[in-house]
Amino acid sequence: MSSIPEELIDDILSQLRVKPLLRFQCVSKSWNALIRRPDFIKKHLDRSIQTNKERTLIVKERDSDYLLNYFSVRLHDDGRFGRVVKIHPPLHDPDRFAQISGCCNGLVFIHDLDAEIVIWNPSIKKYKKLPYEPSRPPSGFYKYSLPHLAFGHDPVNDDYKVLRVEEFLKLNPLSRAFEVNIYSLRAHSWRRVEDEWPYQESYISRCEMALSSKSLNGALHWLVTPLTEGARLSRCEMALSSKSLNGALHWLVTPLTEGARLSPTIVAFDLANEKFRVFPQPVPLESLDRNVNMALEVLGGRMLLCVCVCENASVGFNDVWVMKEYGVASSWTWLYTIVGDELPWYFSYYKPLVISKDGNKVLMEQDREYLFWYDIRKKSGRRFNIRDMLRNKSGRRDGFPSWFQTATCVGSLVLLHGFNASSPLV
Amino acid sequence: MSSTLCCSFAKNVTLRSSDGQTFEVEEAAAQVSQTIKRMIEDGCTGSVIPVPNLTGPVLALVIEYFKKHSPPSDGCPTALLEMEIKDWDAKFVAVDNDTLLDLTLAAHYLEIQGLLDLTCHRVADILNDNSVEKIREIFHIKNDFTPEEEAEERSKIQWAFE
Repeated sequence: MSSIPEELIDDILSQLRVKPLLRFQCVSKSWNALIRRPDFIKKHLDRSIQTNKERTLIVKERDSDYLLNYFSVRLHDDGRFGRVVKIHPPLHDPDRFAQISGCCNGLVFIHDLDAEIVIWNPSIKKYKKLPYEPSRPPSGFYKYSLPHLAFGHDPVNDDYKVLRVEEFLKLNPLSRAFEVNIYSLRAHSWRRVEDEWPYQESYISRCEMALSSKSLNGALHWLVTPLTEGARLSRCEMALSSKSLNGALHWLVTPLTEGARLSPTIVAFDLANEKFRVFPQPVPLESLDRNVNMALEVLGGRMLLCVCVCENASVGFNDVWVMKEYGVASSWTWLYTIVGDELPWYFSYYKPLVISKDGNKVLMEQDREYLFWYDIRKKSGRRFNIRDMLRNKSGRRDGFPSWFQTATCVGSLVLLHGFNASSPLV
Repeated sequence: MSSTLCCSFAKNVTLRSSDGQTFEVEEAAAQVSQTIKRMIEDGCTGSVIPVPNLTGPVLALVIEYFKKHSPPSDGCPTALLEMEIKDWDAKFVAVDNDTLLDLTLAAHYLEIQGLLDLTCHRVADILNDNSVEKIREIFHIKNDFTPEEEAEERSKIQWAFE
């Protein structure tokens, strides 16, 4: 039998799962070189995204002893969950407060309170720790809150970037200042962003309804709440989360006007040219009162606007809109509505995570405790308790976890070669 | 298109394998291969078309594939037919590794995209579940690492072998 030409080997290997590919680096020198080649890693990633290969939920749970545990759960095409595997995040002290703030091309972006920031590929157990970058408040200003971080892929330069927005405050008279820095994985360094944060009079709320940033196609989107004159800070907004799509970071901005009517706008940050831009008003939301929460999500490569009105445990609705054509305001289309008593459990925000191939079912997360597939046409769902999934399948002790955070990943070799990433932890 | 007319007359071509075996097949069916299609268009139909990269047994299999995948003479393929073909495809590539690789090469050489996708996908499935040693055996790959080099490569990703 004659040997298989290289271009076929390339094509075949790009269809493989990550773990066998790691092993096959030992087959021969030429296979080793092929698997580590940047264009092969890219081809494999594109294929993973296209076919949803090795779609995985990364679940973070805080147990009864306030320790953080991380698991990965494979999500099969037919909607079944695979084996639950305990994984170890590459933070210096993973038991401290740590946040999963994004997921893009199989990379998970996590950070803790001490500004330890890590880009982590759990499927190859490699990570890159970001260098420390001090913030520099202008004279007379002080640091008002923790920095807002967002993570995404710059498709033009094939780079991964972290954006850090710092808010500074000055009293008497009250004024605000912003500092925007960007980290490039290729350069492995931070740099000041020239463009200014477009809503200087704004307040980026820390009250989050969801995992902050999630990405397909590689751009981030944030929810922000700028304040117009005289507005109060007391309102709890569903903000903070940035979303990555099409090479830009996005925020949902909600100017608060007289009468507390909400008029949300998306602010995007383009990762390639490093400029902010303001989207037209996302959807014609009318007469929304103070019980309205909003979130940007990314589902199946498209931007979603989720509106949650929650009066109590049974009264309210989840209204979800999809932006069919990226950046085109007129393409916002209603996707589904779930009203309060439609599902046989208490009502809250249902965070969409994953959409099925046929577009009829959406995997949702509720209160960081439950997962369920919702059938858009039948208006029904079956709920799984994440806690039970973790306990049953991983055989761990009976600690009573209090809450969860999830991120969705695909199988990816990014960081295997070329970024000088650190090697496996224990 | 005059394909209906062409097919009702069932115009045939003859293909000859590397070991001299000849096979007669409908021209429309053989054109599933882009390579053969070009040869027919270049006027090779009158004589025997040589297929020097394929042995007789492999060419016989490829011709089976041609027949199953030739455009239907009576209009559009139905959903049922498509399902049936999918089943047939799955069985078609459930063969021993050497035959599978021969088919992969044949699909590559004859530019039969459908067969190439099918065989590559099947090969990938097999690779996913096999050891490094087995992969070398299947692909007839010589291990050019020294034992020390291989041990070092393995130690970097020991967990992936568990």
